[in-house]
Amino acid sequence: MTENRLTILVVDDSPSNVDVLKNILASEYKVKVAISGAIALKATEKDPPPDLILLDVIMPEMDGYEVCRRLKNNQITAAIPVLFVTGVADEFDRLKGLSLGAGGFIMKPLDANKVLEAVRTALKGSKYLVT
Amino acid sequence: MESLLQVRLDDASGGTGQTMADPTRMRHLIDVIKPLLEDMDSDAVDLVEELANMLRGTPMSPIMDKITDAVANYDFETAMDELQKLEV
Repeated sequence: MTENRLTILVVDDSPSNVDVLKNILASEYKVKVAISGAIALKATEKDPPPDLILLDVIMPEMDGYEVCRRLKNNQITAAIPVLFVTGVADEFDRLKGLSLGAGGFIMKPLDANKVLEAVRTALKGSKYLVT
Repeated sequence: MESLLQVRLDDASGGTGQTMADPTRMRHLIDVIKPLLEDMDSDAVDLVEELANMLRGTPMSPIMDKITDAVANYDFETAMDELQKLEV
């Protein structure tokens, strides 16, 4: 039952943001949570790795871009799809995120249907969505 | 482990031997929660809440409060550290 669910790692230092994403995702996916970039990097090296990472951009100590860069530079984690979650993403931000290997952006405030659509698309391997 | 929990629960009931929580259920919950915390699995949140309800009013309640707070903030490392204190 639950063992067959795909796993999404939510990386966000804000518990309230995590709560929102968890409520959206938990009925369909196993949701893991890392409250910092450093914890996320450790989590992604565990076996099995998450099927998808939802990565907050603005975090203290290590921002989402740096986490993504490290993930994509690590052979173990490079193939895990990443979607950025952010409230602000201009053209420069989007190009930066995509150039780092992310699959796209989910914009705040979060809309449940859009989040689920973006997650499903990312899990199918499609890239360059912006929702 | 179970006997230690039983002693603590007996203490909570004033030594009457009547416990407010089922040590077998507690042991089971802790066994389920630990790997979830290690795995940063958000399913731990609901189970920690259940465990906290079982331990309310017992000597373990202060530790459980710390675990509950940590899990509410998705700080699974702190929660795990505190959970292990229940097993000492």
